Amino acid sequence: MKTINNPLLSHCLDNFIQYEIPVFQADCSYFAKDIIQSKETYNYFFSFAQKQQKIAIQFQDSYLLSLFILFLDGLADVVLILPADASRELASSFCEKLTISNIITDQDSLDRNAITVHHLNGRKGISENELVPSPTSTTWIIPTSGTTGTPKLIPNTTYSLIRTLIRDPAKGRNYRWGNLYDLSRFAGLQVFLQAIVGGSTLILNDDKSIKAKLQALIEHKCNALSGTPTIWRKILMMPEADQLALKQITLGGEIVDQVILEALKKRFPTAKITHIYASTEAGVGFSVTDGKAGFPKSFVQASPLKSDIKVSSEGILLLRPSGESRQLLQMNDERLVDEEGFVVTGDVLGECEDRYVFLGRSSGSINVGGQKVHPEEIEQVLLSFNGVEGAKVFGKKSSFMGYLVAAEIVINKAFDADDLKAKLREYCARHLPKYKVPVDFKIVDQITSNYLGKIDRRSY
Amino acid sequence: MSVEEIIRSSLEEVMKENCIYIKRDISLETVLLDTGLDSLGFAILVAKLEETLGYDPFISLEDAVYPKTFGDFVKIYENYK
Repeated sequence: MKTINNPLLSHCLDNFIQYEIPVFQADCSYFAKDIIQSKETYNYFFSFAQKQQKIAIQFQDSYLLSLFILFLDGLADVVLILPADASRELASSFCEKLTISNIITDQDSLDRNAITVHHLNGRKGISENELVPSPTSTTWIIPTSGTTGTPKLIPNTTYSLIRTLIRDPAKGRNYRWGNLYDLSRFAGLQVFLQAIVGGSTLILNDDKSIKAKLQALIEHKCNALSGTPTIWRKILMMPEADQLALKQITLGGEIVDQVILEALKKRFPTAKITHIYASTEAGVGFSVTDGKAGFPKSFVQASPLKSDIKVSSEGILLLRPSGESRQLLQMNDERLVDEEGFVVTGDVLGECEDRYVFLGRSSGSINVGGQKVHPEEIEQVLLSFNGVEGAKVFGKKSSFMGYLVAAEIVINKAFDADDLKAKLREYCARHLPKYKVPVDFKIVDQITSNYLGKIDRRSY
Repeated sequence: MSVEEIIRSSLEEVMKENCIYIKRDISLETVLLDTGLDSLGFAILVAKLEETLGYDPFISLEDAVYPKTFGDFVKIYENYK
């Protein structure tokens, strides 16, 4: 039998499971619901989890997911957090790799029409001196969102996940966080943890429509909100957003441009605006609060959040995660860190006076409103169309989505250009999700390649 | 063609490509997100208008606002001209 080691998270909630069992209105998974609703099932599950050591969780209901993260912290040795949308095949391949034999899930049993807004209250939070790294705490495995090939499985400790969060419960008490990310992904998890560790309230709502979500956030007096620039642009286009009384605005997951920062400042003049650079692999790199896009060059010398930052000679951002997560990454069989412990982020930087600004991805992958697109996949589709002899897919800068997909094609001269373009567009729409269909097909004589003979996909 | 007419014709084109058909006409008061277009649809519309008109007013820092209604949207393009 194990004893609970360093349950950092449930500490914030005053032993929430034993003494403050929340009542569910939503028709959730019976198994999961039972566990947290009666002392008997709670005890049963507690000893079950104690024996498991390794366990995976996958929830559609973000409230259940958050309860189980709190429950398993310090209890299980290894917890794999499966994305809510991960397929059965992907989930099993991850579990096989990590020799996990049990998934706790609400999959298939959730009534998706019964969406209830839940509040999770951090109450106590964790103050600065209460946080100490523990070698025996739970390891959380978070998969990266790789769209081609197998996503990487990234280990974190509870400590490494909450190390960079603001821990000032006296101030945190005033915040009511809303979350526009998927809670099972790294960015969503960060918002959840910030609310819990910061002693704030988290408003959880799984509505798929942004309009309904926003309405609930207004109703539940959300005053701190985190989302991608693309989601923020959308919110700014909604008249009801005026009713949001925001104190804190956080952006991340995509390149943050100056226009969105200015527009947010104008619409929410009293809110503090923070943009965060983070990746599942490297954790939270840094946050920028001076209202400007990119980040100051001074960060490279000394990061205020103690996670070391470096820029390679090719202009690629490198981040060195904290000691604990670095050790875990080094133990991982995939080569994620270099000898010095740096993770290559793949984000290309440019210089603009005293700042670094983000230009795109070194791999040529395109971030369309937070969704990653690999040009090769689209090029294959284009090349499979009769009459297309060459294709190059690249990112076209967009003031609304960060990037859109654009294509250059070489066509067989026997075909009519306009006719082919129209048919090719329809063909793409049938074979690709909307955000992957090129918005523009430019007919060129040849596809340019760089000195390595590779397609030059630099975005313009 | 006036800027408004150009925008209307591009909007129709994008909506057709996205298989969005709405019954009532789009007036200047129509809330943009009620037209059925999502963020991606707007991004495509703005990209198309940049091709036709030669400019994208949403990269301008002078007046960093995002439009709520179709009228706001048209005005942003007209003012930028």
